[in-house]
Amino acid sequence: MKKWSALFILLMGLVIVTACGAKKYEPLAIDEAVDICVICNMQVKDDAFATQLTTKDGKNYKFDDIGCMNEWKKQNGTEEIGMDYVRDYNDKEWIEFSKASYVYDKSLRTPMAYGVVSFKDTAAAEAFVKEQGVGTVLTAEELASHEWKQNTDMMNMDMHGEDSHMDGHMSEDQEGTHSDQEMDM
Amino acid sequence: MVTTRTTWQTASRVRRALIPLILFFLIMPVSYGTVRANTKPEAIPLQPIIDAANSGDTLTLEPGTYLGPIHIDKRLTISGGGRSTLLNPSPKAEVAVLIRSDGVQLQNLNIQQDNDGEAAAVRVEADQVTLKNLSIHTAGFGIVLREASGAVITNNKIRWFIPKGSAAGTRGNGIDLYNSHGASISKNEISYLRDGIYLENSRNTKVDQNRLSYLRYGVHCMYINGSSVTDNIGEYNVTGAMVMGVKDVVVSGNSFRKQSQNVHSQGILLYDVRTSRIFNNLVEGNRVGIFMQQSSGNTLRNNLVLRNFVGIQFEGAEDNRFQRNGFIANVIEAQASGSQNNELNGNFWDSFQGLDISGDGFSDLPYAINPFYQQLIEREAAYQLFFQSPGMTFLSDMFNSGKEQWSADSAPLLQFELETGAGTGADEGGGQGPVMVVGWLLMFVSVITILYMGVLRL
Amino acid sequence: MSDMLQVARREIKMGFRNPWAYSFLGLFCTFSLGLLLINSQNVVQGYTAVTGSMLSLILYLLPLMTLFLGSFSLTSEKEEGSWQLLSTYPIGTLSFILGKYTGLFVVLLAIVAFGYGLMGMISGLIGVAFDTGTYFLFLAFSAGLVLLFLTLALVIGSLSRNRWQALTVSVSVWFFTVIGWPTFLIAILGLLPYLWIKPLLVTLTLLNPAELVRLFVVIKLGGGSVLGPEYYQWVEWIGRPDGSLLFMGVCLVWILVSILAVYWIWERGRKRG
Repeated sequence: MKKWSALFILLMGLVIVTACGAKKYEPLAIDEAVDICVICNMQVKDDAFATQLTTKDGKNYKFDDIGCMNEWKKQNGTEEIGMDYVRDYNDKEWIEFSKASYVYDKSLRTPMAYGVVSFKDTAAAEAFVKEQGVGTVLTAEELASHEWKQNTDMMNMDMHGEDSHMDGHMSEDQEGTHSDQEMDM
Repeated sequence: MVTTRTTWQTASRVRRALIPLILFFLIMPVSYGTVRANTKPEAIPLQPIIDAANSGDTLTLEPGTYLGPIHIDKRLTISGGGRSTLLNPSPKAEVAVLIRSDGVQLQNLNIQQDNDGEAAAVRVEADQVTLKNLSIHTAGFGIVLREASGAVITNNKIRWFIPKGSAAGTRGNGIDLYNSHGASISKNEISYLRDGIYLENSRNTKVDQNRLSYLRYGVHCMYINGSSVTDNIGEYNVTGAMVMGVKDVVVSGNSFRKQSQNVHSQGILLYDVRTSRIFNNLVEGNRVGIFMQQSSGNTLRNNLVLRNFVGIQFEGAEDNRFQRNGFIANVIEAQASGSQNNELNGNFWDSFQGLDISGDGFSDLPYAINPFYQQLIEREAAYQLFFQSPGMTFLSDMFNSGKEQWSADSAPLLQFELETGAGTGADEGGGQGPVMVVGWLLMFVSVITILYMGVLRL
Repeated sequence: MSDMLQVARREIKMGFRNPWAYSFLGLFCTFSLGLLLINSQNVVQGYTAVTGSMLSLILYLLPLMTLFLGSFSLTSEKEEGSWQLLSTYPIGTLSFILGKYTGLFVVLLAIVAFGYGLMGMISGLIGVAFDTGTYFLFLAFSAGLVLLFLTLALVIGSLSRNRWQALTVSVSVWFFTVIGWPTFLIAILGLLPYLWIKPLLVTLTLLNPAELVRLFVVIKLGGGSVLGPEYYQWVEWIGRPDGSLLFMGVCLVWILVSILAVYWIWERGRKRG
């Protein structure tokens, strides 16, 4: 028995070594049955808002909103990250976080209400802004100084909930004083 | 019925058909018998009837099949008498019933929405709307409220429906609120959809006495300060109540059972919940009874936590008061990590052997929650394979460092009376009879074997 | 074949005259009844504290019992010289080992059946709601545990020279597989790279009969989701009816491999005389 198990372990070991030597930090497919956001516990839907990161030792974390991934980075730092991915809003293709373009607007609905969506290039982002009529195009570097405020309530406005889209920017500076300094990409 | 595709946008055709239909509508009460005799499902376009009515009118529909989609832009009361069905055969129309006028009442109507994705059976974009006794079959969303305050949604049945020959698309939510404050949602029955009741940015909502089953999340609340979720019943969902990012919410009297199928199932999840009250709930047979994460200043009292794999789980929960809850027959009663300053006392833990010297019914020994296993699997999820393995229990017991920082119940309750009727246990499938018979049989066989093959010299 | 049956008959006879068998029988009955009485208000169904603690009790007791009875039976053959005697007859080593295995299995199964019979009877008398499916699952679980640990016991008995050696080895094997298992694994796997942990853990679990059978029962009790997202596909698999067949297949492979190992050991001993 012992010989057999020793052999088996050796074999398994070999398989693993060859397996992980070949591809590293590849984005994994979203499995809606089991994937939940590491930060907020919500199911990660296989949609354009899903993001993921793989640490240098191979742990993979999935998030349902870019804001949640940002929260993780705030808690754990970015040194250990092997690669982080976001998705193109239009065709759901995985793009490296630093290479993507982003659009923020308070009125954009995302799973955790951070209001940031990602695109594979600036052109796509600008087209989206044009189509929606609202939004600011941001690069990954600009996102580092973004405030990550969740659109949680209309508390800063009048009580009738008549929020037009653009006045969101005025209330932006009132909460969320922590701009993310750690995200030096 | 599919050949007569009218949408409310195609106004000209509607106008042409208008006059005979108004006549028809006027004659209908008189010729009641003839309409009933005509049982063939001749679908009647409903929009012209609405267009003909005046604001403030009450329309009572004759039993029959009606064609949607409809657009209600005046204050109407439409009642279907329970035997009228509204179809929405047009694949272009996202919404079967669109309500854009305040004070509309829609009741006793069956609505069928064949379109999936973002398509909704009823969409409300006005205040003080009442939706009552509707029976909705939808392939997408059920009732959607956008910027609609003070809605009353009661006694509706909403379930998922797959049109013939089409694949299970993306299910929508049963009742979906966004920026709609002060709604009252009660006594609805929702099943087989994504989220039963989804509330986002909707303050002071009342969710009461709904029955929610086979859903992803029974009640899913995000940013709904001052709302209440009371006396709902949920079964076989992934999660009963998903309460996230709220303040001053009441979650009470709910019963969430048998939610253990999914690897993330739980009875009640509280994430980023502040100064809220969670009491008198029953969580039974779930993977995790109550899961509390990054929450503070809440009170959890008198909850009954029965037969779950993990009774309660704290992660980064601080300054909560946690009293008089009952924990019975959970595989692991409690897990806690990174949770400080919680006030735990007077809870009943059935596996705990306390010691009551002072005779006040409370143990003088504390009940401490060992964080070892949770910390282990937080670092490495693969070790969940060791859940309650005898060796894991052994290892956890050896782990005693920093015990003073563990979450602990300072004075556990020693006696606990289970209310009769509360948590009656699983479906008792009359298991006693067969088990007893088999028991006798096994005894008999083994004794015979021992005697014949071992003891007697043959 | 008849040789095998002869050996088995003899083994059963000796087994039932062994006082150890009855002391384990008493222990098993006492503990299972105790558990039943403690949980008399609760329904015994699904994965709950009641079934969880029963599972642990069985995991503590049955492997130890099996290892002791099984390994002692083989060492006593050596110590009392009956193997030397048997070797002179034209009896095949394989018949001898299979006969031993079957005989011991019957003895152990009778003990388990007595224990469960008593449990079923008493639960009927005192009115504990014992779900039928759960009861049979536990019965099958115990039988499986005995089957798998019996092969281990035979290996130990074959390798040990006398009863004391067998005792020591049995206790250490029991401790390693049942109690020390997570501790050892966590300690060793912690040194390895992250990506190795899960595959190694799974492989090693397949090699440990106690964990293998325990996980099977937890999943069949409906507690599979507690193992987390890492294993959900497996859980789904085993939860289905053909999952049981798969599990039985794994057990069979386990038994065959160990019996072959035992055969090889004895055959080698026989040649060397």
